[in-house]
Amino acid sequence: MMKNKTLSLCLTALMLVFATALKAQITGTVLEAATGEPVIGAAILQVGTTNGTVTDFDGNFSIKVSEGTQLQVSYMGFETQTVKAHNGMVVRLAESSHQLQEVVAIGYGSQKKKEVTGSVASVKAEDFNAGAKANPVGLLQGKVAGLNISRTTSDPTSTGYNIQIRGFSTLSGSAAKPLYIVDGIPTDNIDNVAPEDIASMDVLKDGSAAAIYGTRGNNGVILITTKRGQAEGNEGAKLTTEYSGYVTVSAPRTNTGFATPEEYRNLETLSGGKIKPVIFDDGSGNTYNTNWMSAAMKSAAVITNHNLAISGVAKNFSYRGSLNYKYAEGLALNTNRNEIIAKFAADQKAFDGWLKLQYDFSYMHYKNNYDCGDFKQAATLNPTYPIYDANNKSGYFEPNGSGQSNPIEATNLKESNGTGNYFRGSIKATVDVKAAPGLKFNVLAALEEGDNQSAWYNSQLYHDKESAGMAHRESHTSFKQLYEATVDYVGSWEGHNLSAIAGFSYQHELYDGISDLTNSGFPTDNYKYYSMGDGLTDKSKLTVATYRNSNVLASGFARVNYNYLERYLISASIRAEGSSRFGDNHKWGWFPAVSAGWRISGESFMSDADWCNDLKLRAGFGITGNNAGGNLLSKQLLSQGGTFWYNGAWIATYGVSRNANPDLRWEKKYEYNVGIDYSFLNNRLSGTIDLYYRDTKDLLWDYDVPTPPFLFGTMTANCGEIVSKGLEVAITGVPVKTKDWEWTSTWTMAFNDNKIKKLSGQVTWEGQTYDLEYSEKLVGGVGENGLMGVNTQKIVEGESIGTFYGYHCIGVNTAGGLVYEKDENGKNKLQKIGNAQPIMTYGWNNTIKWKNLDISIFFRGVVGNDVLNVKRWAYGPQKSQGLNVFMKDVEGLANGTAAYRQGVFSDYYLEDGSYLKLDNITVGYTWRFRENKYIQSCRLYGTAENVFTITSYSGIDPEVNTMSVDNAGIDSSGFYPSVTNVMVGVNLIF
Amino acid sequence: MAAVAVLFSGCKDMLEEEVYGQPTAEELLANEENVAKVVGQAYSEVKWLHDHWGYWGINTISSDECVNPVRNPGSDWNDDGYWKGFNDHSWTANDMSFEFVWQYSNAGAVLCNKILSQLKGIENSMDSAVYKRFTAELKVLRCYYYYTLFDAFGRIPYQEDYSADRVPQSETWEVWNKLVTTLEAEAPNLPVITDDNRAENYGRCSQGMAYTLLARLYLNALSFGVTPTNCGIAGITSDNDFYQKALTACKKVIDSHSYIIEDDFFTNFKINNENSRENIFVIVEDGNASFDYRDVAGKLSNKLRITMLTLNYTHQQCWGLKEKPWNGFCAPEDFLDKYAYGVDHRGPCDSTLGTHGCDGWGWFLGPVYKDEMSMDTLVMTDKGNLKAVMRKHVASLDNATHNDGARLLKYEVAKNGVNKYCDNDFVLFRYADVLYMAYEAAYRLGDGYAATLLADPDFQLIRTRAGVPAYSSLDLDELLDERGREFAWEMVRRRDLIRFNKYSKGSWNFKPAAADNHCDWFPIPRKMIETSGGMWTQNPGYETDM
Repeated sequence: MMKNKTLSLCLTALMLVFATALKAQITGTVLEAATGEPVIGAAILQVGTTNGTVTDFDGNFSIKVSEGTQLQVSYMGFETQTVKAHNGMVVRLAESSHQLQEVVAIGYGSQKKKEVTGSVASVKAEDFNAGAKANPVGLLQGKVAGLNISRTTSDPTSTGYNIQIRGFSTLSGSAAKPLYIVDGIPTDNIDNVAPEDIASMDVLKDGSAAAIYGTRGNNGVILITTKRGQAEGNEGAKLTTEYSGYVTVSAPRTNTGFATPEEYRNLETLSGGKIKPVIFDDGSGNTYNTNWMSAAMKSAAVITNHNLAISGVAKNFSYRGSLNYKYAEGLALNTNRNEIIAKFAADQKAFDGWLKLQYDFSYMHYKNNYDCGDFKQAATLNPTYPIYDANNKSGYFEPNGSGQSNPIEATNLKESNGTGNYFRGSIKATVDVKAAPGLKFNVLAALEEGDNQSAWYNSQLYHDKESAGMAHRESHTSFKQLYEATVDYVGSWEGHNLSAIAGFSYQHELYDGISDLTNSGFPTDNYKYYSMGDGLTDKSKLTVATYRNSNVLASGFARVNYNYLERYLISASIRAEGSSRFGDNHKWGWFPAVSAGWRISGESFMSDADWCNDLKLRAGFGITGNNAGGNLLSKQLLSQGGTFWYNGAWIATYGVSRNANPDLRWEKKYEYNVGIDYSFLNNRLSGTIDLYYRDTKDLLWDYDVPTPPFLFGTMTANCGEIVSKGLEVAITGVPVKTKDWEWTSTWTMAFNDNKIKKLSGQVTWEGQTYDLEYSEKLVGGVGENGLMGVNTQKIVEGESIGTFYGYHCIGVNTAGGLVYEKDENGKNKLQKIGNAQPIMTYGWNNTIKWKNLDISIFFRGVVGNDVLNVKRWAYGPQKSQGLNVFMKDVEGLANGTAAYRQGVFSDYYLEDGSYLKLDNITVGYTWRFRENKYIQSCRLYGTAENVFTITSYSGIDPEVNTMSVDNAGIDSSGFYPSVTNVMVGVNLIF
Repeated sequence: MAAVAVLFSGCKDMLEEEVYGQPTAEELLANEENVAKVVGQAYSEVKWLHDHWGYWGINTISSDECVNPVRNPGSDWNDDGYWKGFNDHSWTANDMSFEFVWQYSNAGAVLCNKILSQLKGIENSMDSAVYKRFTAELKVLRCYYYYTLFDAFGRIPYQEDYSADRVPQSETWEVWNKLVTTLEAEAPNLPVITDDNRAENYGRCSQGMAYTLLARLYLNALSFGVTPTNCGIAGITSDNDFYQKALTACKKVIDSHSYIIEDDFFTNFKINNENSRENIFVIVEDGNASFDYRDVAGKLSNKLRITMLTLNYTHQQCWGLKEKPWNGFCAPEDFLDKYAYGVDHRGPCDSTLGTHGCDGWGWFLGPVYKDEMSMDTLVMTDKGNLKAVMRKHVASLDNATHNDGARLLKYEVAKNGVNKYCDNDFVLFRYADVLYMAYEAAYRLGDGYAATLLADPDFQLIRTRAGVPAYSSLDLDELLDERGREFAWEMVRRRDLIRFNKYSKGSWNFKPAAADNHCDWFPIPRKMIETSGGMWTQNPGYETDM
């Protein structure tokens, strides 16, 4: 034994000497396997040495090594090859499926995509949506099957999107959005992350993937990973400076569906005498034609954005700092948003790599000037009213009707603004136990401080005497702390690969603020909201309210990922979490998950199947939870109620303000998921298919309860159950790929359906159990323009959320009324008449590259949903038309095919909400410069957003909120004009 | 790591929910001074009932004293026929008003029970007289809440305990029995109002208030479906015994000498009507404070807006009102014709003088002038330049003009006021009602007390202060009309009409006589039937669907 070893050592030494002696210049060529095109810049490295070179413009290289030496040939995006050197060698590199090599974030760690067993979608920065986005969610719109995102306003002061993963699986509205994790820190505000700073966004869709975030994983998790400094190994490289900027012009799309002043005056003719418009004259014979919408907005709004990022690396230290400034005008007069975001990320190594420190700091400041006018007023006010009226103190015309006001007066005599600051900072320390390779201890501490202040003031000239001269301020602060300690281990032996993590997490949130500070009666308008104490001397109009509340989440969690030969994969996790918000006996919940995968393509019997690059079957099960939406719901507390005249003076009284539920507990979702990941034909065809079934029990909801015995009509409890199922398909194809041309086309689509299984159950109240026998709740209330809280939907056992109930219209009668289908008793038959949930949502992205020119075209849409056109209904034609009218039914009224505005709900007002939107087109050109001191690359691009929509819907925009439990598919808001954006931008890398 | 370990060692405490500033009932009641702050909460739900979406609305607009037509041009108050349903008795179980009445009155009653159970817990530590007073007050107040519910819906779930037990509907006579029994038992425990303690007990349950409510229950017993056989009260064997009991209750109020008939009818409705010695029970209003907001009550206000509801848009300019009135609720012709025009000050003012001569009249008719001095009639420029001249004729429920119907003026209007809402306290019970109830009971009994009342100066003052002669004789039909004139929009008219069987069966402007009496009860709100899980059933004659 000993002898042999010695011998082999000697031989090796001998060969080395020999090899060195026979070193010669070897030349060769590196080509793309698929196209035969030369690969420029491929790295050639003699194995085990630092001897290397790169290929030139023709793919040629030469290197001084001896014949037969092992050479490693690599190029980004291609499978690395190790070959024996010989002169005139030709190396053909096969493109690697970058999807397979990709690493995806899975929460408390990452995993190679090919090893992932849950349903996880990853979107990298280069695949983000182009355009000016109100917050990073917009970057994902339409990109991930089953991730439903919509935005129903183009007002830049409103940064929110409606977002939902896999449809409805809970009834708690506000809590139904996904959990956001920014660089490991859970947060509910991602406005302060600049899109330019994001490297990737990963979406944990199914229960087995999300269960590691147990309590808040019910609605899925979106992990945002921001860009960091350059990778190790580039020490000495000069720092990289990157500038991106764009200018966007937003132009309103003009048609609101309402009558123009001319049409309004002609209503009697247009309707065949069926409508008498109320024509205003001021008594002196003056008439007016006011297009209120035009008067209330700019002809175009401009958005500018600048982002500057600097990153670098030094020994044991890398960093990236960035600064983002955005100024966005709104179409509404006097509205805009200013925001500035500063971010710094750094990574440090110490003690010979035993200790790694990761720092992340970000700060944001914003200011909004809000819209004081009201596009609803502008769309619906009588167009024969004047804007101005010198007889009024305000100088503006003051309409009389209930709920009517002059939007131009409000724009000019009111002001409202909000400012805020948001700080997030975290330090993560990792001890890499070199003595036990693969073992690491991590500690993370993160702080978030957010504050916002808003203020408004109404001029003393404002027509409403109660609120004229009134000033208001409020101020809110949130302070969140997160502490985590984890230990993780990664190890491999003989084909076994194991990674495991276990840890604790503690999160404390404190909210504190002044929710109301209002006063009026200031000496002059110049006081505004600056000196709030200087109102009426008797303080009779001064109101003040402040608050404080807090909550705690504490948890312990563990996960094991194991695979054998990357062929048989299994993952199991568990999280135990406690929430302060639940009743004393129900604070803790357990959230286990397990998933497994089989990479068929790794099996020996597949080794001959050249067409198959990757094929994986996977299945998972996980339980996730939903925290209660509010604090103190389980406690019977008194709060100040009305006042009581007691012994000749007002005293404040105290009473309970809700039916407290001491039994409040976790809502739990049981989710089953099976999926296939595939990549075929040299990775030219790849994608994912997922099938899932979700069953949510103990639904947290405000259930209707009877009074008596209950004090209030609703109670937050855990009774119901909802199931949902769906199918998600993502296909990426590369139909064309040549040296100069590449066309990539990605199609995603998702089908989802839900059903409420149960709404009844037991609740505890006043120490007794109470059987809540309850099977439906009326929702979908429409209160627009005097429609008296008509309910259009029911949450009912056996049906899905968003089901419309009403009459089925079968015709129009001669009086301009509707005729409805009758039941057997001859009464109008109440029935299911539609559903707000789309059957399918889809996105279709095409990227075409020709040399340095790139074009991307992105379509998205929905199929098979009903939208209630509230504008058409509430502002439909009336015999005496005092408000502006939605035109769709006016001409039909003349020829007997349309009806007057009806007081009851029927499918006459339901329209097909299917649409196809050309969301954006981008054309860009990139210059890459040969190495110089000044600039590496420059990209110029132009983007058009919201280019056109194909739909039969007659409202402003069929993209309505379908994600609200109570109001899905009800187009009641959205008077804000819909816009088309045109953007020009530049990215420079120095 | 160590810090985290320490944190986790105290898991239970760590997850204890922190409370900032909100006390529990035990903490608050530990100090006896705070008892009133808890008991006072029981009155909070009373404030909802004067709203047009609440108990006041369903009572007033469904009787002959009020209509709320759609006004054109502009389809104002159209609300898709919602109000018309009350005017012509075509309401349905889905109408939200019913749900509001149910929710708030029941919540008031449950709240009384809750506070009673809380007080029970500290009974031993409280002064026994104070305890007795508060418990009597809460029980009588609960009776008032139940009375409003009972009056509206009849078969209601009645409950005296605070528990989670399901509460079945009681038959009308069972509810009636409970109310009468409670009031008889608790009235003596309440203070008798004197000039010395009037201010201190203002707006709260008193002995006079309890007996007035009792008199109403007895006088109307038959109309509630209560009979001598089912009433379950010892000593009641004939219909007349109800009237005898009613008279006895009235006499308790009269003989207490707590109240008088004010010389001026309008004293009872002034902005500062807390000085009235005629008002027995009022909702104390605070026009200055902002809306007390309750999230389930999007439409309901606990602020009095009665003048806002009725006055014309132009009254704002004429009288410098803080908010532009809504030009809605008004009195129709048939009702106004009950007043001696130009004589009875409770009736309409001179329709040629309008705002120049309406002070001291109960209803507004005629022109609205630009100001007190001007002869320029204001014009509703956005209503086709209609001159604001109110008239008693209401063209129709679907298509009235903006001038149609008389506008209630008896509640003093805050001209050039500083408040958006009315500061006048809303009158629930008034001594004049006690005298008229006493007369009716005596008259029905053939009791000589009726004649005594006719000769009583207070009784006569009700007429003479209005400018009309005192009665030398008074039969029931005339009394019904007289009650209508005296108590217009004071939430007694509907029950009066039912007592005389002239509510469903009667007809007046836009309200045809009905074939049956099912409208004498309002429908149980649809949502309540649903949430009760089938335990509560609908009143006869109504259908329940979405």
